[in-house]
Amino acid sequence: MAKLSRGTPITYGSIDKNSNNPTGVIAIEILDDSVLVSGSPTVRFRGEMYASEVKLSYDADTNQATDSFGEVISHCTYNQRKTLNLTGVILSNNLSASIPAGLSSTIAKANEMFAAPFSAGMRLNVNFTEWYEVNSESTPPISENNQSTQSEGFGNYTITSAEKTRSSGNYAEWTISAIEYLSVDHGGDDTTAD
Amino acid sequence: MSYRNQSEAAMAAYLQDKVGVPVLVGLRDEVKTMPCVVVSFVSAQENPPDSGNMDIQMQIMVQSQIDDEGAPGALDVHEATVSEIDMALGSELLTGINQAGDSFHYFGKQEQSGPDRELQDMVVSEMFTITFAAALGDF
Repeated sequence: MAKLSRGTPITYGSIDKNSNNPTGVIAIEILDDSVLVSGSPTVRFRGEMYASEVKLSYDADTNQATDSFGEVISHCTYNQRKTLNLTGVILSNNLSASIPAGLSSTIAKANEMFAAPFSAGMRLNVNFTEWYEVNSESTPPISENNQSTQSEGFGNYTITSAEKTRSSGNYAEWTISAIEYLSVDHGGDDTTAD
Repeated sequence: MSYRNQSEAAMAAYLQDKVGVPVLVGLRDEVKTMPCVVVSFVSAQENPPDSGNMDIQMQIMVQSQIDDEGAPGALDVHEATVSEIDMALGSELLTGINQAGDSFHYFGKQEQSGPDRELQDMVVSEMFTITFAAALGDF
């Protein structure tokens, strides 16, 4: 009864509106490791997204051993991995660190950000302070509306597919799928999938 | 200014350039003289959430009095005004609503219906309803 009358804390929405991220925007960065500049990967995109959906799924392949009756008596899992799906609209990102570059809050800049070229196989870094499974393991990017500097994270994703959609009567939207293979050791205290 | 005031002001200013009769906003402190066009903000819904961008629904009504007390040739003026509003709400022209310095930006149209005609006490009203995405800002 007390819970009903007073409420209870539940994770809500695609982004928490905490002090580090009041506008609910995630900053994302796409790195091309195939083109190194002074030993560093080329940044193809560094901007931000109003994420309408952030979906993380865990998967593994499995093998089963069966007895003479066909019943599974043992199984193992391998190729453990997590898949991140991001869906949202891309913003203009009026920030000096923006890639494509440009200090402006215009439709033209938003169009340029939306049309930034990248491809599957590139790395995806995400700034998502309150969700460590998603937040980038390496230093997350910052953007105009997400200056959060939380560096702890387990995310180390590679893009497997992406869609850019412009449709009549809607804001243009990106959908990105990215995967991270995991080395999971559940034998000790450390069960973090990083 | 609120979304309501700013949207109505932007739409009224835009339409005033397109028609030959007074364009008024929904709530005003002046006496309405017909024929006229009345621009009314109906509702708005933020989309996406927390973005500050709104899906705005507005009604644009052409009103004319067509009896002996009305202006001479009121029906002809009425029909011409309806046609002008119809043209002005077309996608090829409506981007002209984005004027520098008015802190209002129209992104694009989502729905439009009308003109729906109603006749009451010899006042003919013709109403367009339009829903579009917009933001308060000059982009």
